[in-house]
Amino acid sequence: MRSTLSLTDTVSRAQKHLATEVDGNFILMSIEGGTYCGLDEIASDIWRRLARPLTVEALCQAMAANYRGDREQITADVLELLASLRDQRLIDVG
Amino acid sequence: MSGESGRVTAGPGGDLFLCGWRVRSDLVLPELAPWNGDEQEPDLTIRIGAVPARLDGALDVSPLLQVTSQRQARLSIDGVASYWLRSSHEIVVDPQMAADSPDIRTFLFGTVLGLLVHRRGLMPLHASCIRIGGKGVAISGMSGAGKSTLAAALTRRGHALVSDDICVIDTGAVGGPVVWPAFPRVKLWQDSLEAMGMGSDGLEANRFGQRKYYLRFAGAADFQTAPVPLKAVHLLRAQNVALSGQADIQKLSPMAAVAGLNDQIYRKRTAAIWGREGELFKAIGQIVSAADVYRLTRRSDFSQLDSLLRSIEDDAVS
Repeated sequence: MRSTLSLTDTVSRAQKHLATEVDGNFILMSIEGGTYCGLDEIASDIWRRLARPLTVEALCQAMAANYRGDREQITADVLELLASLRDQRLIDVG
Repeated sequence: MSGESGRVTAGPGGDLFLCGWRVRSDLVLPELAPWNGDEQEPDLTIRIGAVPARLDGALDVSPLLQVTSQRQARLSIDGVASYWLRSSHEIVVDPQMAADSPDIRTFLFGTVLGLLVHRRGLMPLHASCIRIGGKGVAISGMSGAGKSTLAAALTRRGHALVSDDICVIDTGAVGGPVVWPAFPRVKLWQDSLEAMGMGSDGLEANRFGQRKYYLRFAGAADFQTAPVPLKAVHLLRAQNVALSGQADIQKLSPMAAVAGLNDQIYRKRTAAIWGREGELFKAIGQIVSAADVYRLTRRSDFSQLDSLLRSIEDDAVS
Protein backbone atom coordinates (compact mmCIF):
# COMPACT_ATOMS: atom_id res chain seq x y z
CA MET A 1 0.00 0.00 0.00
CA ARG A 2 1.28 3.42 -0.89
CA SER A 3 0.99 6.10 1.73
CA THR A 4 -2.03 8.37 1.60
CA LEU A 5 -1.90 12.13 1.55
CA SER A 6 -3.15 14.25 4.38
CA LEU A 7 -5.75 16.98 4.00
CA THR A 8 -3.22 19.54 5.21
CA ASP A 9 -0.64 18.64 2.53
CA THR A 10 0.00 21.24 -0.15
CA VAL A 11 -0.05 19.89 -3.68
CA SER A 12 1.08 21.39 -7.00
CA ARG A 13 2.15 20.28 -10.44
CA ALA A 14 5.67 18.87 -10.57
CA GLN A 15 8.34 21.04 -12.14
CA LYS A 16 9.34 18.38 -14.64
CA HIS A 17 6.45 17.03 -16.62
CA LEU A 18 4.85 17.32 -20.02
CA ALA A 19 1.16 17.99 -20.46
CA THR A 20 -1.10 18.14 -23.46
CA GLU A 21 -4.83 18.30 -24.05
CA VAL A 22 -6.80 16.04 -26.36
CA ASP A 23 -10.43 17.12 -26.68
CA GLY A 24 -10.24 18.89 -23.33
CA ASN A 25 -8.74 16.00 -21.37
CA PHE A 26 -5.13 16.06 -20.23
CA ILE A 27 -2.50 13.51 -21.08
CA LEU A 28 0.58 13.84 -18.91
CA MET A 29 4.05 12.45 -19.22
CA SER A 30 6.57 12.12 -16.48
CA ILE A 31 9.94 13.08 -17.94
CA GLU A 32 11.85 11.14 -15.29
CA GLY A 33 9.78 8.00 -15.48
CA GLY A 34 8.91 8.17 -19.17
CA THR A 35 5.35 7.06 -18.37
CA TYR A 36 2.10 8.47 -19.70
CA CYS A 37 -1.03 9.19 -17.71
CA GLY A 38 -4.41 9.96 -19.25
CA LEU A 39 -6.87 12.00 -17.19
CA ASP A 40 -10.64 11.88 -17.55
CA GLU A 41 -12.85 14.96 -17.44
CA ILE A 42 -12.96 15.29 -13.66
CA ALA A 43 -9.26 14.49 -13.20
CA SER A 44 -8.49 17.09 -15.89
CA ASP A 45 -10.46 19.63 -13.87
CA ILE A 46 -8.34 18.76 -10.83
CA TRP A 47 -5.17 19.11 -12.92
CA ARG A 48 -6.24 22.62 -13.97
CA ARG A 49 -6.71 23.53 -10.30
CA LEU A 50 -3.22 22.25 -9.53
CA ALA A 51 -1.67 25.04 -11.63
CA ARG A 52 -1.15 26.84 -8.32
CA PRO A 53 -0.19 25.14 -5.04
CA LEU A 54 -3.16 24.48 -2.77
CA THR A 55 -4.01 22.27 0.16
CA VAL A 56 -5.68 18.92 -0.39
CA GLU A 57 -8.54 20.16 1.76
CA ALA A 58 -9.09 23.25 -0.39
CA LEU A 59 -9.03 21.07 -3.49
CA CYS A 60 -11.59 18.66 -2.04
CA GLN A 61 -13.83 21.56 -1.03
CA ALA A 62 -13.68 23.03 -4.51
CA MET A 63 -14.52 19.68 -6.08
CA ALA A 64 -17.41 19.08 -3.67
CA ALA A 65 -18.77 22.52 -4.54
CA ASN A 66 -18.64 21.79 -8.26
CA TYR A 67 -19.71 18.18 -8.48
CA ARG A 68 -22.66 16.33 -7.08
CA GLY A 69 -21.83 13.48 -4.81
CA ASP A 70 -21.03 12.44 -1.35
CA ARG A 71 -18.35 14.64 0.22
CA GLU A 72 -16.55 11.66 1.71
CA GLN A 73 -16.52 9.85 -1.61
CA ILE A 74 -15.22 12.92 -3.42
CA THR A 75 -12.45 13.30 -0.86
CA ALA A 76 -11.51 9.64 -1.23
CA ASP A 77 -11.45 9.94 -5.03
CA VAL A 78 -9.34 13.09 -4.95
CA LEU A 79 -6.88 11.49 -2.53
CA GLU A 80 -6.59 8.42 -4.71
CA LEU A 81 -5.89 10.50 -7.83
CA LEU A 82 -3.35 12.66 -6.00
CA ALA A 83 -1.51 9.61 -4.66
CA SER A 84 -1.35 8.20 -8.15
CA LEU A 85 -0.05 11.49 -9.60
CA ARG A 86 2.49 11.72 -6.82
CA ASP A 87 3.70 8.16 -7.43
CA GLN A 88 4.18 9.04 -11.10
CA ARG A 89 6.06 12.18 -10.01
CA LEU A 90 3.56 14.40 -11.74
CA ILE A 91 2.79 16.44 -8.62
CA ASP A 92 4.83 17.71 -5.69
CA VAL A 93 3.47 17.19 -2.19
CA GLY A 94 4.75 19.52 0.51
CA MET B 1 9.35 34.14 -61.74
CA SER B 2 11.95 32.78 -64.12
CA GLY B 3 15.39 34.14 -64.78
CA GLU B 4 14.40 35.28 -68.27
CA SER B 5 12.04 37.90 -66.93
CA GLY B 6 15.05 39.83 -65.71
CA ARG B 7 14.55 39.39 -61.98
CA VAL B 8 17.72 39.03 -59.97
CA THR B 9 17.78 35.55 -58.54
CA ALA B 10 20.50 33.38 -57.11
CA GLY B 11 20.32 30.28 -59.29
CA PRO B 12 19.63 30.04 -62.99
CA GLY B 13 16.21 28.56 -62.21
CA GLY B 14 15.29 31.26 -59.70
CA ASP B 15 14.13 30.82 -56.13
CA LEU B 16 12.66 27.60 -54.85
CA PHE B 17 9.83 26.34 -52.65
CA LEU B 18 10.32 24.30 -49.49
CA CYS B 19 7.66 23.94 -46.78
CA GLY B 20 6.15 27.31 -47.60
CA TRP B 21 9.48 29.11 -47.50
CA ARG B 22 11.05 31.00 -50.35
CA VAL B 23 14.52 29.47 -50.71
CA ARG B 24 17.51 31.05 -52.41
CA SER B 25 20.35 28.57 -52.81
CA ASP B 26 23.93 28.44 -54.04
CA LEU B 27 23.57 24.67 -54.13
CA VAL B 28 21.68 23.16 -57.02
CA LEU B 29 18.52 21.59 -55.52
CA PRO B 30 16.74 19.75 -58.35
CA GLU B 31 14.26 18.18 -55.91
CA LEU B 32 12.61 21.46 -55.04
CA ALA B 33 9.72 23.03 -56.90
CA PRO B 34 10.18 26.59 -58.21
CA TRP B 35 8.89 29.46 -56.10
CA ASN B 36 5.63 30.71 -57.53
CA GLY B 37 4.48 32.76 -54.58
CA ASP B 38 4.71 36.42 -53.61
CA GLU B 39 7.48 38.83 -54.40
CA GLN B 40 8.81 38.50 -50.89
CA GLU B 41 12.34 38.34 -49.60
CA PRO B 42 13.72 34.79 -49.30
CA ASP B 43 12.85 33.05 -46.00
CA LEU B 44 15.87 30.84 -46.26
CA THR B 45 19.26 31.26 -47.89
CA ILE B 46 21.50 28.26 -48.49
CA ARG B 47 25.07 29.41 -49.03
CA ILE B 48 28.21 27.54 -49.98
CA GLY B 49 30.90 28.72 -47.61
CA ALA B 50 33.21 27.95 -44.74
CA VAL B 51 31.79 26.21 -41.68
CA PRO B 52 33.66 26.66 -38.39
CA ALA B 53 35.11 23.47 -36.90
CA ARG B 54 33.56 24.30 -33.55
CA LEU B 55 30.53 26.44 -32.74
CA ASP B 56 30.82 28.69 -29.68
CA GLY B 57 29.52 26.93 -26.58
CA ALA B 58 28.57 23.86 -28.59
CA LEU B 59 27.23 20.68 -27.05
CA ASP B 60 27.99 17.39 -28.80
CA VAL B 61 24.73 15.56 -29.45
CA SER B 62 26.75 12.97 -31.37
CA PRO B 63 30.27 12.85 -32.85
CA LEU B 64 28.71 14.37 -36.00
CA LEU B 65 26.37 16.95 -34.51
CA GLN B 66 27.08 20.05 -32.42
CA VAL B 67 24.28 22.25 -31.16
CA THR B 68 24.26 25.48 -29.15
CA SER B 69 21.75 26.98 -26.75
CA GLN B 70 21.28 29.81 -29.31
CA ARG B 71 19.77 27.15 -31.55
CA GLN B 72 22.62 26.90 -33.97
CA ALA B 73 23.80 23.51 -35.20
CA ARG B 74 26.73 22.04 -37.07
CA LEU B 75 26.54 18.68 -38.79
CA SER B 76 29.63 17.11 -40.30
CA ILE B 77 29.51 14.08 -42.60
CA ASP B 78 33.00 12.94 -43.45
CA GLY B 79 33.70 13.06 -47.17
CA VAL B 80 30.31 14.63 -47.94
CA ALA B 81 29.90 18.09 -46.39
CA SER B 82 29.71 20.18 -43.25
CA TYR B 83 26.48 22.05 -42.56
CA TRP B 84 25.91 25.05 -40.34
CA LEU B 85 22.40 26.00 -39.33
CA ARG B 86 23.31 29.57 -38.53
CA SER B 87 19.88 31.11 -38.04
CA SER B 88 16.29 30.31 -38.96
CA HIS B 89 17.05 32.05 -42.28
CA GLU B 90 20.49 30.79 -43.18
CA ILE B 91 22.23 27.47 -43.79
CA VAL B 92 25.91 27.36 -44.78
CA VAL B 93 27.17 24.25 -46.57
CA ASP B 94 30.83 23.38 -47.04
CA PRO B 95 30.93 20.51 -49.56
CA GLN B 96 33.73 17.96 -49.51
CA MET B 97 32.65 16.47 -52.84
CA ALA B 98 31.09 17.82 -56.03
CA ALA B 99 28.48 20.36 -54.91
CA ASP B 100 25.78 18.77 -57.08
CA SER B 101 26.20 15.30 -55.53
CA PRO B 102 22.92 13.88 -54.22
CA ASP B 103 24.70 12.78 -51.02
CA ILE B 104 25.01 16.42 -49.99
CA ARG B 105 21.25 16.89 -50.32
CA THR B 106 20.51 13.69 -48.40
CA PHE B 107 21.76 15.28 -45.19
CA LEU B 108 20.53 18.77 -46.07
CA PHE B 109 16.99 17.41 -46.48
CA GLY B 110 17.45 15.10 -43.48
CA THR B 111 18.96 16.21 -40.19
CA VAL B 112 19.57 19.82 -41.28
CA LEU B 113 15.99 20.33 -42.47
CA GLY B 114 14.67 18.68 -39.30
CA LEU B 115 16.67 21.04 -37.10
CA LEU B 116 15.57 24.04 -39.18
CA VAL B 117 11.95 23.00 -38.67
CA HIS B 118 12.54 22.93 -34.90
CA ARG B 119 14.28 26.28 -35.10
CA ARG B 120 11.29 27.75 -36.91
CA GLY B 121 8.90 26.53 -34.21
CA LEU B 122 7.15 23.83 -36.24
CA MET B 123 6.76 20.10 -35.66
CA PRO B 124 8.90 17.72 -37.73
CA LEU B 125 7.37 14.26 -37.56
CA HIS B 126 9.39 11.29 -38.80
CA ALA B 127 6.85 10.52 -41.51
CA SER B 128 6.06 10.63 -45.19
CA CYS B 129 2.85 12.36 -46.19
CA ILE B 130 0.42 11.82 -49.04
CA ARG B 131 -2.52 13.92 -50.17
CA ILE B 132 -5.64 11.76 -50.42
CA GLY B 133 -8.87 13.52 -51.36
CA GLY B 134 -7.45 16.89 -50.38
CA LYS B 135 -6.39 15.68 -46.91
CA GLY B 136 -2.96 14.87 -45.55
CA VAL B 137 -2.25 11.28 -44.54
CA ALA B 138 1.06 10.84 -42.74
CA ILE B 139 2.82 7.48 -42.57
CA SER B 140 5.20 7.48 -39.65
CA GLY B 141 7.86 5.10 -38.47
CA MET B 142 11.53 4.55 -37.88
CA SER B 143 13.94 4.41 -40.81
CA GLY B 144 13.42 1.13 -42.62
CA ALA B 145 9.86 0.67 -41.35
CA GLY B 146 8.55 1.17 -44.88
CA LYS B 147 6.99 4.62 -44.82
CA SER B 148 8.63 5.75 -48.06
CA THR B 149 7.60 2.52 -49.75
CA LEU B 150 3.97 2.93 -48.74
CA ALA B 151 4.05 6.59 -49.74
CA ALA B 152 5.47 5.71 -53.16
CA ALA B 153 2.89 2.95 -53.63
CA LEU B 154 0.12 5.43 -52.82
CA THR B 155 1.45 7.91 -55.38
CA ARG B 156 1.26 5.12 -57.96
CA ARG B 157 -2.46 4.97 -57.19
CA GLY B 158 -2.82 8.61 -58.16
CA HIS B 159 -2.27 10.45 -54.88
CA ALA B 160 0.19 13.33 -54.62
CA LEU B 161 3.28 13.18 -52.47
CA VAL B 162 3.40 15.96 -49.88
CA SER B 163 6.67 15.07 -48.16
CA ASP B 164 9.05 12.20 -47.63
CA ASP B 165 10.68 11.16 -44.34
CA ILE B 166 10.12 14.49 -42.57
CA CYS B 167 6.54 15.70 -42.30
CA VAL B 168 6.46 19.38 -41.36
CA ILE B 169 3.34 20.16 -39.35
CA ASP B 170 2.06 23.56 -38.24
CA THR B 171 -0.32 22.83 -35.37
CA GLY B 172 -1.07 26.51 -34.85
CA ALA B 173 -2.79 26.99 -38.20
CA VAL B 174 -6.32 28.41 -38.15
CA GLY B 175 -8.69 25.47 -38.58
CA GLY B 176 -6.31 22.85 -37.22
CA PRO B 177 -2.95 21.22 -37.97
CA VAL B 178 -1.67 21.42 -41.55
CA VAL B 179 1.21 19.75 -43.33
CA TRP B 180 3.56 21.94 -45.38
CA PRO B 181 4.54 20.30 -48.66
CA ALA B 182 8.29 19.74 -48.96
CA PHE B 183 9.17 18.46 -52.42
CA PRO B 184 7.99 15.76 -54.83
CA ARG B 185 10.66 13.16 -54.25
CA VAL B 186 10.76 9.98 -52.25
CA LYS B 187 13.68 7.79 -51.15
CA LEU B 188 13.33 4.09 -51.77
CA TRP B 189 15.33 0.98 -51.05
CA GLN B 190 16.14 -1.50 -53.76
CA ASP B 191 13.91 -4.21 -52.25
CA SER B 192 11.00 -1.77 -52.03
CA LEU B 193 11.38 -0.98 -55.72
CA GLU B 194 11.33 -4.68 -56.45
CA ALA B 195 8.23 -5.21 -54.29
CA MET B 196 6.45 -2.64 -56.46
CA GLY B 197 7.78 -4.17 -59.64
CA MET B 198 10.04 -1.21 -60.39
CA GLY B 199 13.72 -1.26 -61.30
CA SER B 200 16.36 1.18 -60.17
CA ASP B 201 17.57 1.93 -63.72
CA GLY B 202 17.73 5.62 -64.44
CA LEU B 203 17.23 6.61 -60.81
CA GLU B 204 19.79 8.65 -58.99
CA ALA B 205 21.50 6.80 -56.16
CA ASN B 206 22.30 8.54 -52.91
CA ARG B 207 25.09 7.65 -50.47
CA PHE B 208 27.44 6.07 -52.99
CA GLY B 209 27.75 2.35 -52.37
CA GLN B 210 24.58 2.04 -50.30
CA ARG B 211 21.59 0.29 -51.75
CA LYS B 212 19.30 3.26 -51.45
CA TYR B 213 17.82 5.18 -54.32
CA TYR B 214 16.16 8.45 -55.03
CA LEU B 215 13.02 8.28 -57.03
CA ARG B 216 12.13 11.52 -58.68
CA PHE B 217 8.51 11.60 -59.68
CA ALA B 218 7.55 12.46 -63.21
CA GLY B 219 4.44 14.02 -61.70
CA ALA B 220 6.49 16.77 -60.11
CA ALA B 221 4.60 19.30 -62.23
CA ASP B 222 1.46 18.39 -60.23
CA PHE B 223 3.15 19.21 -56.95
CA GLN B 224 0.96 21.57 -54.96
CA THR B 225 2.43 24.06 -52.54
CA ALA B 226 -0.65 24.84 -50.45
CA PRO B 227 -0.66 23.45 -46.90
CA VAL B 228 -2.77 20.32 -46.45
CA PRO B 229 -5.07 19.70 -43.45
CA LEU B 230 -3.79 16.66 -41.54
CA LYS B 231 -6.48 13.96 -41.49
CA ALA B 232 -4.72 10.79 -40.39
CA VAL B 233 -1.41 9.49 -39.08
CA HIS B 234 -0.46 5.83 -39.49
CA LEU B 235 2.22 4.64 -37.09
CA LEU B 236 3.95 1.95 -39.06
CA ARG B 237 5.25 -1.26 -37.57
CA ALA B 238 6.81 -4.00 -39.65
CA GLN B 239 6.09 -7.52 -38.54
CA ASN B 240 7.86 -10.73 -39.32
CA VAL B 241 5.92 -12.77 -41.85
CA ALA B 242 6.32 -15.90 -39.77
CA LEU B 243 4.57 -14.28 -36.81
CA SER B 244 1.86 -12.38 -38.57
CA GLY B 245 -1.27 -13.13 -40.41
CA GLN B 246 -3.07 -10.25 -42.01
CA ALA B 247 -1.83 -6.73 -42.30
CA ASP B 248 -3.76 -4.71 -39.79
CA ILE B 249 -4.86 -1.13 -39.11
CA GLN B 250 -6.10 -0.21 -35.64
CA LYS B 251 -7.29 3.17 -34.42
CA LEU B 252 -5.46 4.21 -31.26
CA SER B 253 -6.84 5.69 -28.05
CA PRO B 254 -5.82 9.31 -27.37
CA MET B 255 -3.16 8.25 -24.88
CA ALA B 256 -1.66 5.59 -27.16
CA ALA B 257 -1.76 8.10 -30.02
CA VAL B 258 0.07 10.75 -27.98
CA ALA B 259 2.69 8.22 -26.84
CA GLY B 260 3.13 6.88 -30.37
CA LEU B 261 3.54 10.32 -31.93
CA ASN B 262 5.88 11.45 -29.18
CA ASP B 263 8.24 8.66 -30.24
CA GLN B 264 8.24 9.93 -33.83
CA ILE B 265 9.37 13.52 -33.31
CA TYR B 266 12.31 13.98 -35.65
CA ARG B 267 15.64 14.92 -33.96
CA LYS B 268 13.96 15.04 -30.58
CA ARG B 269 17.18 15.11 -28.54
CA THR B 270 18.24 18.38 -30.09
CA ALA B 271 14.72 19.73 -29.68
CA ALA B 272 14.92 18.91 -25.96
CA ILE B 273 18.27 20.72 -25.68
CA TRP B 274 16.59 23.69 -27.32
CA GLY B 275 13.84 23.57 -24.71
CA ARG B 276 11.03 22.53 -27.07
CA GLU B 277 9.75 19.45 -25.20
CA GLY B 278 6.79 21.20 -23.61
CA GLU B 279 5.57 22.94 -26.78
CA LEU B 280 6.06 19.82 -28.90
CA PHE B 281 4.04 17.74 -26.44
CA LYS B 282 1.25 20.31 -26.58
CA ALA B 283 1.43 20.23 -30.38
CA ILE B 284 1.00 16.46 -30.30
CA GLY B 285 -2.22 16.90 -28.34
CA GLN B 286 -3.46 19.29 -31.03
CA ILE B 287 -2.64 16.72 -33.70
CA VAL B 288 -4.42 13.92 -31.83
CA SER B 289 -7.45 16.17 -31.27
CA ALA B 290 -7.74 16.91 -34.98
CA ALA B 291 -6.50 13.77 -36.75
CA ASP B 292 -7.10 10.04 -36.45
CA VAL B 293 -4.04 8.06 -35.36
CA TYR B 294 -3.70 4.40 -36.34
CA ARG B 295 -1.27 1.62 -35.60
CA LEU B 296 -0.52 0.02 -38.94
CA THR B 297 1.11 -3.37 -38.92
CA ARG B 298 2.41 -4.50 -42.25
CA ARG B 299 4.00 -7.74 -43.32
CA SER B 300 7.71 -7.33 -43.81
CA ASP B 301 7.59 -8.73 -47.35
CA PHE B 302 4.96 -6.17 -48.41
CA SER B 303 2.55 -8.85 -49.54
CA GLN B 304 -1.09 -7.77 -49.19
CA LEU B 305 0.10 -4.30 -50.12
CA ASP B 306 -2.98 -3.53 -52.21
CA SER B 307 -5.46 -4.24 -49.43
CA LEU B 308 -3.38 -2.15 -47.05
CA LEU B 309 -3.37 0.77 -49.48
CA ARG B 310 -7.13 0.52 -49.92
CA SER B 311 -7.64 0.63 -46.15
CA ILE B 312 -5.48 3.75 -45.89
CA GLU B 313 -7.52 5.37 -48.66
CA ASP B 314 -10.82 4.43 -47.00
CA ASP B 315 -9.75 5.86 -43.66
CA ALA B 316 -8.61 9.08 -45.32
CA VAL B 317 -12.02 9.85 -46.77
CA SER B 318 -14.19 8.47 -43.97
